[in-house]
Amino acid sequence: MLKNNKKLLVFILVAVFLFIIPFFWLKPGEMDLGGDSHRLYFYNPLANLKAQAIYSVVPWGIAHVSYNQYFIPYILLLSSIKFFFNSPTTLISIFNGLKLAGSFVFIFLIIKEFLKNKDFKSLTLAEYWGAAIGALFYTFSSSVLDNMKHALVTHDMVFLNPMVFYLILRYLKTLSFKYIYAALFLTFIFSSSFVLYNPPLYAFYPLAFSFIFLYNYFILEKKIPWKGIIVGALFFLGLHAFHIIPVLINIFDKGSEINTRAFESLSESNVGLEYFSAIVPFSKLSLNILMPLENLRMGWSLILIPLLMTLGFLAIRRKDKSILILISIFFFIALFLKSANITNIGVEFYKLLFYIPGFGMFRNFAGQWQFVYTFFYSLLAGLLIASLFSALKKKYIYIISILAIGLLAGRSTAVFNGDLVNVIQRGSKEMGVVIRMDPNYERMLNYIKNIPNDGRVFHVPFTDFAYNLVGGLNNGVYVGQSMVSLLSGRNDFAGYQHIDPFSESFRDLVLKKDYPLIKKMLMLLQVRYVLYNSDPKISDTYFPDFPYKYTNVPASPTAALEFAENISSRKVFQSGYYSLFEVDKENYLPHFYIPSKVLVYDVKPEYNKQYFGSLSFFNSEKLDNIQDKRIAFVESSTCHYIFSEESCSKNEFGTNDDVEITYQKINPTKYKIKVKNGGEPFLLVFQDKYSPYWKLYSADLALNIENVSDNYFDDKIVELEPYKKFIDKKPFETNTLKSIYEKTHIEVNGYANAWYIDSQDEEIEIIAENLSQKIFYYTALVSLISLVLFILYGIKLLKNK
Amino acid sequence: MNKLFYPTIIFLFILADVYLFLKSSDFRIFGILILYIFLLLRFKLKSNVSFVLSLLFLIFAYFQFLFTDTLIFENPGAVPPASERLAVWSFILIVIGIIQKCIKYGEK
Repeated sequence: MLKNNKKLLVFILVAVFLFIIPFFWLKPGEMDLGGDSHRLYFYNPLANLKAQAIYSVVPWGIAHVSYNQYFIPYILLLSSIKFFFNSPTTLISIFNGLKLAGSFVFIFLIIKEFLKNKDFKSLTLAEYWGAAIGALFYTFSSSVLDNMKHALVTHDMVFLNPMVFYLILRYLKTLSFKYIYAALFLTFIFSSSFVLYNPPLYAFYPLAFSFIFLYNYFILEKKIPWKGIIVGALFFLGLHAFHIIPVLINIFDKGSEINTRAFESLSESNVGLEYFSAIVPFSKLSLNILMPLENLRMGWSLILIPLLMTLGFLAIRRKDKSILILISIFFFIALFLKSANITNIGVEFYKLLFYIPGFGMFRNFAGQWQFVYTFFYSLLAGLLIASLFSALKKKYIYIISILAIGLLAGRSTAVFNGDLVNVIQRGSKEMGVVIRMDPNYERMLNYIKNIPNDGRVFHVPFTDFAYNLVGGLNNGVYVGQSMVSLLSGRNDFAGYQHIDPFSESFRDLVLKKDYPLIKKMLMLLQVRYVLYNSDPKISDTYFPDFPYKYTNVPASPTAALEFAENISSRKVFQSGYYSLFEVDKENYLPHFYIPSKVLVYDVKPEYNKQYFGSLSFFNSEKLDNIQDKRIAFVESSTCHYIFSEESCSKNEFGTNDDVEITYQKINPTKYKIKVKNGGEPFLLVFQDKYSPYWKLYSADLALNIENVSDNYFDDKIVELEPYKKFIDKKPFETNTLKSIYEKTHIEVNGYANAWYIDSQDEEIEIIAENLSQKIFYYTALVSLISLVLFILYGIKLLKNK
Repeated sequence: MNKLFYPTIIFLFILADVYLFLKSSDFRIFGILILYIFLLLRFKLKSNVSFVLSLLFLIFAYFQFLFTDTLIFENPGAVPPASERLAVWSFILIVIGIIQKCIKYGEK
């Protein structure tokens, strides 16, 4: 029999062991950073913070508006840890260790709470082993392990969810606010896992909180401590205001992508329901009950836990009956939501849920509900096995426990040998996911970062998705969002999905090898540089099926070089495999320009969908006879909005060609523009994704026109060097100004912003600013004040203690 | 005698549903289910009966799973594998068992 103090010791040793394991997965200098998302914040937190997390405009593609500020506390936490360890490998290992150890510790502690034991000493042998098996079942579940590779930032919830749940449970039992305080602090520093964009959040917390309230009412038989809950909720809203409020505004902003998704159930085409209907046959209840890992290793061992659980139902102890019934109810709800495919009536009922606004986020139901399902599954497993063990002799408890833990560990060997992250890139021939960073690529990133103009970068090879491939010094390749955008902050185009709405036109032109037209297209995307990567590891030799098949841009080093040379004019920098080419200034349209010609077009219904948009207007027929490259395409209905019907029906007309503009980038959400030789109407084009949040303000500018970065079209466009300071000195300077030309703010070139400026003034000074950034500034202020109050409240709590 | 007889009948009905018919049918499932609920009420069968039946089907499902080609999970056809249908029965029976427990708990 375990001695009482040994129980705690073994528990701590297992937790420490689980925390240490990931430190053996990666060798020094190795990192697993790619995937659908990325984890470049481990590699260079501060660079990633500046590039991605501060501003409400994304650093890739055509720069659409998106709120990524939820990353800020998390990345600052990473920076602080990296300050001490100075190794991305260690940083990755720490967080992987937290996932394993945190999962085990908090599931164990929750089960212990439900067993109504105050401390480790009072746990019986049966309860102790039951809790340990339940906790290890969670730790070695597919939700924790299979999601380790290509982990999203939100994967931290595998330990955060049980942690927050445990702290709230402790609060209900003790009414000590320190537990709520700790939970709030954790949610703040891991705010990246509590962002409203994250569907598993909505899957977990409503069910978890419902459970906790029922537990409090029926089992603890206590009144709900409303005071503490309200204070906690207010602190939560205050601390998280900087990302919750902007995202909420985005959700209720008609026309935003997330609004369309959230309320698609109210539209004619219920995309969520269609997606669900397509994938529901793939869902298998048997797999959800047996819970095999992705590799189906030791499939024969899967029965043990469900078997023990079902036997546990036959041996429920009187004192555990109420909690077991409650957890069972939540377990079966979660199992139904995760499986969906339980009888035809069940599927039909599930389909009805997609008519609830917002439920469309659960279209990928198996992925979204998996965390809450595994959570309740493990709690139920722990409690039922404890019940079963309480009816068994000690020697059987030992035998079954060792067998269960042995089988759980046996089928999870990937945890111990590092195969969990050391996997082969999909679609590749033996190229690993783990990379060691190539210093030559770092040099290239540094060069790109310091280029004084804001021209965009086009990657060759060019992928079918939004991925960028970068070879490591080892036999690994990074496949994920572009490092150029996420580390240097420069917008770039890595794949087909980034060049929307030109994606299909581009594919067509590549097939025809129509380089002159490709160059014209790249002008309308503000491409100034072509980054050619000749590393054979990222070529189609090693990636024959993925990700190069569809777009047809050459992916072998020689053919890719030829392509890069055909769309650019000269090489400006080389470092190892990486070469940066620049396009002619004649073939470059800067961020702001005044078109000399406006071409009106009608949207063809067959092309009225994403990636196909430009097929309605971008073709040689329209462009062959036009010499001046400063053009803008305006859709006919938009044209009628600002021009007369007569002008629009002529289909072609110019704007004021004499206008000169000088502009300076303050940050990705703010630009200062000085216009000369105005007086007559003109169209000012700004090559960022159209958003009504972009506003113009008339202002007195103090532009230092000596810091010229470059000039274009006979000095008619002058670009000044960007503002170099990290933080804008005057973030609120437009507060007292009234936005101008809102009614003539239109979309041109299928995606970009333009303002038709009809002013009598010869000289106009304007600030172009994205309102979403100001929303962030205000909400960040709320969060900052809340943080100060939160700290003061913490001090008060300490003093009271 | 009755208490053992009727669960056996239900057990055989379920096996027949899974192994004699290629496709799953809600009519059969809910037909058997209604009959089972009637027997539970008529003969006051305990929740343990549901749990034992669930356990048996779980074991059946598990053995079927072991002998099922995993490709069927990646490319599901119109006919669900027997392991899946047995798992559904195991799920339904365990839910019934929990409901029985709830009712009994409520009564107390």
